[in-house]
Amino acid sequence: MSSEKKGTARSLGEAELGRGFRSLMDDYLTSGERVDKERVFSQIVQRRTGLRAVESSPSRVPRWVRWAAPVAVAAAAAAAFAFAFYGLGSDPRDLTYVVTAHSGAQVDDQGSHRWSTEDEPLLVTFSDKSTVLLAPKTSVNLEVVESGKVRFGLERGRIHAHIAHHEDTDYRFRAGEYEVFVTGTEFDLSFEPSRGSGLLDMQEGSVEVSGPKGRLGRVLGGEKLALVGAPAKAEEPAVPPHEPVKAPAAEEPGERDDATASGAGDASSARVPSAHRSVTPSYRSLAKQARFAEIVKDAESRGLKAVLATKSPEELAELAHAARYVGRGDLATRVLKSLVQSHPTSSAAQSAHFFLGRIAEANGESQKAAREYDIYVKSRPGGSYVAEALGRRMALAQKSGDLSLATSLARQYLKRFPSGPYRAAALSLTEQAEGSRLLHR
Amino acid sequence: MRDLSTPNPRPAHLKPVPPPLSLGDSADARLFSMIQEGGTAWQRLAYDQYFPLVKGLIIRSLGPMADAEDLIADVFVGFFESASNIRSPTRVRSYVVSITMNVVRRELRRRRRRRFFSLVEEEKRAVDRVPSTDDPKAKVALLHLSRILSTLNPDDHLVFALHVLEDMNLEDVAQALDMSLSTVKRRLRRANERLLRRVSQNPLLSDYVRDKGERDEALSAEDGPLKEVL
Repeated sequence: MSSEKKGTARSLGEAELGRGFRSLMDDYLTSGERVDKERVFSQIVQRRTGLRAVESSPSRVPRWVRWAAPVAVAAAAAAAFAFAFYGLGSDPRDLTYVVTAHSGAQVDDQGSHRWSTEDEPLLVTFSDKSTVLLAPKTSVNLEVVESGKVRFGLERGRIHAHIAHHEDTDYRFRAGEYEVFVTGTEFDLSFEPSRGSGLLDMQEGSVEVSGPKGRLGRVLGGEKLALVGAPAKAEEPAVPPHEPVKAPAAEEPGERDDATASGAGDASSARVPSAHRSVTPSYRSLAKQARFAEIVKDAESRGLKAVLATKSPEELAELAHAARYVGRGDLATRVLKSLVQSHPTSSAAQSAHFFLGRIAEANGESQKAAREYDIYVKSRPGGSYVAEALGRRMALAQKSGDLSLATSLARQYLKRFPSGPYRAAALSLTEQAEGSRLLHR
Repeated sequence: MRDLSTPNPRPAHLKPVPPPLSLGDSADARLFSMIQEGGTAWQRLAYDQYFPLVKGLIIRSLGPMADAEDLIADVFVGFFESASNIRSPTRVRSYVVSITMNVVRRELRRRRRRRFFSLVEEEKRAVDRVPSTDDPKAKVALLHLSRILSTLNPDDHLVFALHVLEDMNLEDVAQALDMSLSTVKRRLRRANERLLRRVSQNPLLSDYVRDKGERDEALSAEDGPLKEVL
């Protein structure tokens, strides 16, 4: 089994693989309704009738966005006429725009490049077909529109932007201390000046975000980023409570707050004074995101001794698993041993014996592995890994030639786990022992 | 945004599949009769009847990251457009399966193209877009599983999904994918070999799959005697 990495001592069989996969998928399918049947039907009806936005149908699109489709058509036609009339639009960098009200009428900004909405939304349509929809109670200003550059300042409220991707254009949206650099995408951006905070809700594509302390990173479609500024009042939530914060943007390690990093999804997660507070995300939250290499990197950069001395048993267990998963058996062993020594009564420490056994077994240290499995089975008789530990212990005894112990363990195994994955091996051992007993009778 | 406005009137390379994936029952017979009569009243009935099947096929084939709602809509738009081509009540179900697998295949190919050009960060952050499950390890395992499945050739992937995940027998898989039985077997063997190798190299997933299989086997063992009595 040369292809196996440390920590995986027994290869899976096809049946086991299929059973495990099917079960995983079935659990996913049955653990909650993630597909809204009626919404899908509504989508089908809309597509079949050629209607994309039906007011009465349930939709993920905010109500204030829905009017935009027909208005956008009118605006695009008006814009096309204007661009054609004035000979603009031949070069994507010659950006122009028109602003359209709900009624379809064009709105004149009187040269101020500033718009505010009260009860009705406004649509800004650019000559490259990008659109920015202003929700009610929103104020924006267009700081620059020249040489393919657009600088949009969101002073308050919420916008829905759909930016066409062109190499020659450069759209940036400023919300308080944050700037969103667009690379061809669709997103919502909101900003509340009294709190200095907002929310970036990406629907498609990607954007780069920078904040008061520089680049924050890239945010991709489906992700949300809380733009947390210095609040006017310390007790106020940094993000409107009705807006769940699911996932943070790409960020530099140590530059994000733990609450948003965990993707907690509630308003309380955003009750932090600054997005740049230097708090390390928990290993548990990183493990949830499968960022195992980052866990190991963090532990090593902080110094393993310090980490072992300060982290909880659960966090140390996550570190050990992460080390195993990235092939760092040495580090995993060190962490697990420390866990056992420093927190001997914790459940994480008791399970640590099982994993120490697996690592030892993968390293060819059979006796050491057997010892660890024994400790685990004894200390956690009802533990999650007992079947595996017992089966592996049995196999080790058989491999070492101690058939008496192997048979005894096989009987024990069959009694406790009659349908377990080591059933065949256990049956073979007990039958062999029975045959031998009859022969010698 | 994907262009979803063009329906999928008839699978281009999949012939309507001969019966039976399941023999036409009375519901299919009624549906067939309504389709023949024309009008649109049958569409809601067909949707209610086949929504669970289509949803299951799509999610099992494409994993939790699938934009399932759009794809389910693709299937039904295609089905509603072309159902009048069905010639027998016994073929309704298999026709739906064929359209679904055609949509899945198209999506797999689209993903492969996209992955070819896409950013590494997208993969890194994909876990954030997996809808939440109660078990964080299940979430990660599902993500790893989807990633590994996505490395398969689309046809191998579909064979594995239908046979192993959807529990269809090989003959039905061959019908649904318009392949010969021997091709299905060959593709299944190749998919299994590749997946076993990849999963064995992934301690997290192999741990999870093994534990999961073991737990479920123990549960089914508890049901065993009852099943025998019944």
